[in-house]
Parts: sequence; C-alpha cells; structure tokens
Amino acid sequence: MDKEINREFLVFDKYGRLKKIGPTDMETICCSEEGMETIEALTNNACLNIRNCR
Amino acid sequence: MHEERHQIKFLNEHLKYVSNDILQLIILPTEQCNFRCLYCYEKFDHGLIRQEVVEGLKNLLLARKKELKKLSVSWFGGEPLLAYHKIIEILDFIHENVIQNGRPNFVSEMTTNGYLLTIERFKTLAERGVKFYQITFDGDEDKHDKLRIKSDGTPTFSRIFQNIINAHNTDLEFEIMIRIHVNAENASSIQSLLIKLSKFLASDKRFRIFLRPLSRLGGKNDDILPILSDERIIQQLNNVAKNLGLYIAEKQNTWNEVCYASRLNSFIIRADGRISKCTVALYDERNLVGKLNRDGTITLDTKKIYWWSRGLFSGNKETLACPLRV
Repeated sequence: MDKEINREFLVFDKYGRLKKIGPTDMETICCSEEGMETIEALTNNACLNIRNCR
Repeated sequence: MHEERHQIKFLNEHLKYVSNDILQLIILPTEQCNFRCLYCYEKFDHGLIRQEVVEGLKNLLLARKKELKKLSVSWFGGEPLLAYHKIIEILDFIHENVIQNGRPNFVSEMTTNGYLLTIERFKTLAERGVKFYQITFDGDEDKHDKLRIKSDGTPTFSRIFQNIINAHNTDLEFEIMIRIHVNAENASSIQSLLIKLSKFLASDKRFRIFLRPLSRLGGKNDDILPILSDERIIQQLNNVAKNLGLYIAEKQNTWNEVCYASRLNSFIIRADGRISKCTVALYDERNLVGKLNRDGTITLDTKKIYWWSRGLFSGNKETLACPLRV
C-alpha cells in the first residue's frame, strides 16, 4: 500500500487557521499550481508523490 | 526520514500551540520609542500603526471570533503607549464586537517602559483587560539614568518609579513584572533599588521582580555593554529581594518554556502590517513571514513559518524555547 495513504499535512487558511488535510485534499491542492507552492513549503516536496492529477 | 518530520506528529503537550481555538497576537502599535536605551536593538523605522492595519486586525478578529476560546493580545513596540489611542480603539472593538458572553477568554499584556503609564491610562487599560505589564529598570536612579534615557537624553527613573507607586496605591487587579537588567557595574545600585521598591511594594503580590542579565541583542552599542561575567550575583540579588519582602517572578528559566515564536497560533502584527514571529530579530529576513491585509486575511510564507515552529515537530526543547538561537 502506498505509504502516503494515512498521512495528514498542515496548511494555513486565509485567516491563519491551521488545517489538517488528508491525502485526498492534498491531491486536490497539489494538482493546482497555486496550492502546490503552499503545500510543498510545509511538506518538503510531498507533492512529488501525488500521481493522480487530472 | 526528513520528510516525515513534517507530518503532524505533535506531542500532546504542544497541542495548545497549534490549536485554532487559541490566538495570540503581539501587536506593535508603533515602532517608534520615546527612549533611547543604550543597549536597544530596534531601529525605529516605522511610526504609528496604519489605519488599514487596524482595520485588518478588526476584520481578522471578526472572522475568527466564533471559534476562539482564548484571545491573547500583547502590546509591544517601540513604546506602545505612544500609540495609546490606537490601543484603546482596538481594545474597545474587541470588547464591543469580538467578546460575547465572556467568550473568548481575553487576556492582554503590555511591555512598556512605563514612562507614559499615568494612573488615568493605567485605570483605563485595566478596565479593558490589560492586566499584565513588564516594566524595566537598569538599577537605581544613578545607573538606570545612564542606560535608559529619553530620546532627548533626559532621565527617566523618577517618573517610571512614581507611575509604579501610583499603580500600587490602587485596588485594581493586575500584575506588574519589574524586570531588572543586571550588568557588570550595577549590583550595588540594584540592591539600593530593591530597598527603595520594598518600602512600597513589600507584600504586594501584584508586583514581581524579574532579575536577568543584560544581553547583547544586536544593538549598535553591543561591543561596549558591561555584560555580566558571573551570573551567580543574580541569585544573590534574588535573595536580597526575597528578604526585603518582595515577590520574585516564578518563571525565571525561559529555557523550559515554548517561545511564542515557536507557536503556530501566535503572530506579531507590525505597525506596517507585516507579520513576524520574534520580537527581537525584527530586522532578520527570516522573521518577515507574511502580511495582514485590510480585509483581515493574512498572507503567510509557510516555509518560513515552519522554520520558526520546527521545535513543535522535533520536540527539541531548546529549539522550542528559542528557535532563533538554536
């Protein structure tokens, strides 16, 4: 099983709230150009492991 | 694996530094100061907080108020009381528009030189929940007035001292931490100050003495500061204070604490709207982590934020206590 499956990641929303996001949301964010910049900063290139961008 | 350190694996004891129901704002309502302390590291580049930043703060608090259980607002500077009317504007907004039915629990503190803390202002601030203060001396009048002088070079001791005694003479609830910088030349002067303070403040638990060594914090006079070489004198002076009936601040060892700079729910709002994490490294690029916008949204450089909060992920106590130094 892909080790990414149970991971959660940390991002800020626009009012500085912390959000935990799971791999599905993570995929959505990683698959958008703007989101990718945000999440990669906190997860050390984690988006490199997301393969299902459509 | 380095990558896995970035996952959410906070220790339970650190959850309060991550929680969205707690928000700590350290507001610099001005970055100007009426003092020019010999050891100061600030550059006084920015004046009064911009109105668009005040509006941004109000909008941020409106957006977050429903989820907040605790709101902590610390006033820092510069000298915050130079922006007294802006402080009152923000405090009034909080009490009228953010706090409802006692929620969120509101705590507020101020780091001030005490010179402009008249009794009228002290009472007005206390009514609005500003109940914790830190005021600094550098010894008794003889030594203090050589290091902590006004921007026009005039002395400051007697007025600060009087403002403290005026606070003592009220029946208000508050806590004033009297921070005393110990250097290589002022031990006997501090003894004299402690005796002077004890004549008024002995047995008054609202006042706490916090003795700590003078530090080099990046100011232009760092090379000529009389830095203490043997810190055992601090314990001796603490004993003097206790024997005089003064109360000592409990948290003397900051290395056991989690600095606000490490906390993911703590932000410094600067007078021009920039967001920082540390009140000392104000001119360090790493400390410019974002911006507060007029509509209350905040733009954050998450990579920089992560660096300041890395102790929450690693659990390293020294990093948590001071992410800048470790």
